[in-house]
Amino acid sequence: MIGKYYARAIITNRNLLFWGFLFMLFWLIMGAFAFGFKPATKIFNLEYTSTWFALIALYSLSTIGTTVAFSLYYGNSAIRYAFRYTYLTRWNFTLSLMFAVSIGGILLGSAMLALSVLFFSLKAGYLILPELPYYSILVEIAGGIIMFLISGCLLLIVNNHFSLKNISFISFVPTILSYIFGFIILGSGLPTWLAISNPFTELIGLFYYSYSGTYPSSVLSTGSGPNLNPIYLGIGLILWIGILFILFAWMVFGIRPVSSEEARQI
Amino acid sequence: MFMIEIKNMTAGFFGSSHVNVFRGINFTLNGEKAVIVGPNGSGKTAMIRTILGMLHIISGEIRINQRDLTHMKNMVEISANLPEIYRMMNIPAGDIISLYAELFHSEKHVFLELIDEFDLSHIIHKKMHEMSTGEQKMFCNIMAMGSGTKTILLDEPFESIDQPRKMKLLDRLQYFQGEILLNTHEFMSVNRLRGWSLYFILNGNLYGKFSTEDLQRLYFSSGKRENAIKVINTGSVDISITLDSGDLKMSDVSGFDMVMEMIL
Repeated sequence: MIGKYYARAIITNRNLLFWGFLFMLFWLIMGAFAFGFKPATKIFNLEYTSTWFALIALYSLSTIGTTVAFSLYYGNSAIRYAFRYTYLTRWNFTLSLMFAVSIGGILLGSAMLALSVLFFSLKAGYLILPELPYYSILVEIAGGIIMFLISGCLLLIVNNHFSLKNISFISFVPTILSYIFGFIILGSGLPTWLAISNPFTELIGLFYYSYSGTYPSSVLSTGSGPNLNPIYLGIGLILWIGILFILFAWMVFGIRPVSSEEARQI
Repeated sequence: MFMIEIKNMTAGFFGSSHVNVFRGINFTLNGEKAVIVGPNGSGKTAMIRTILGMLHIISGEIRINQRDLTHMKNMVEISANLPEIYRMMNIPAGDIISLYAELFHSEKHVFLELIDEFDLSHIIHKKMHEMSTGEQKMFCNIMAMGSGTKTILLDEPFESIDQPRKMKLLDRLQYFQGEILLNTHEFMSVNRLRGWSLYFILNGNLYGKFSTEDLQRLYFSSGKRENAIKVINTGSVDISITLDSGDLKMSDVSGFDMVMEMIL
């Protein structure tokens, strides 16, 4: 199974360690100690920590998508060759990558969970533990997979049909969308139908639920919007994974072998 | 018998269909070892890349064991030494060997024995971009030879390889139990191959087939000669291939550049 090689390559990737771990570590420290977190009631502290964890976990996992997208682009010739002249099948390849990003998702997500507990507990002066830690592992797995599938599908569309000059931008789309949806649901909120139908807010909602044990609001900072049912969020995420899985497996077989030189801007 | 057939094929780069690498090539590899000799830029590598599915077939077809290449999958019969096909991930050589041993369902120890035989144990922990040009070339040759496939496609396998390893590699290839399609720009190495089919490629046109057994009798001559077996069109002038007499004996030639210099 080639997934173990991808998993090892992902978790030892320095870019991923910086953007997915160290950069997020910095923001968690800022969130706990510099952005005016004033511990109050236990419920307030739990919800505040859950909000930070949900957003940071999403941003952290989005870096997996970028990493895997670049890997596909640099390996396009090898992947095409392997489908024709080795025993590698599109399903085996896609599932192997899903396995690898799941490992990456668990490691990054669990690190963000542990650091959230540590920093916010230190500030509050008592231990703020997640209510459903095992549930968060499932969300971390789903998060790694969905970020990979979004990035992978976008990359394959560009690689197979358009100029590779767009590749640097395309590979960051999941990260950019994560920040956009993250800030919107934090500050102004989203209509319920939109919050439960896009994978980014679905992940935020599910991460929030796994930490706080309560339904997330569609406006996280004030808790004033209608609540989002985690069952609907979960179903939405599974549907996204199913659709993108089929799309990715279909497109990856036709991956176009192009030189990485094509992506040069100047 | 395993067979690669190229029929009237024109190919170009994906996304740049206006750039044809070669036009109307016909070639068959049927249970034999063949060497294609040509100068840089003549289309040798492109031919191998097309068989591997890396170039866009504009017209004509490639059939592998009677199956159309464009619809083919999981045919574990062909390996090659192109570095890009082993760059699925940025991992050390040892991991690349393990990965491809799994993908080919072949034995990892076969690759490792070849690594030892060619005295390359020190590259096991290196990633491909950390290897020297010669190490990378030899590593890719080993990946092709160790895969256990019936056919191997070798693009310039002797380039940047030191002389002792080159001799060892030539022996290995001579006694390889299977088909080989090898391309090179060097005549010197071809002189050591016995019983191989011989082709020449120039400006995307293939000329043959001859035999490496005839190298001592084949000559290059300028212009169109009456006794020519084949006439190669270089674009500006013609070169005739003649038997037993001519301007330049093939076995004395080191490369196509020498042919151009001496004849033209």
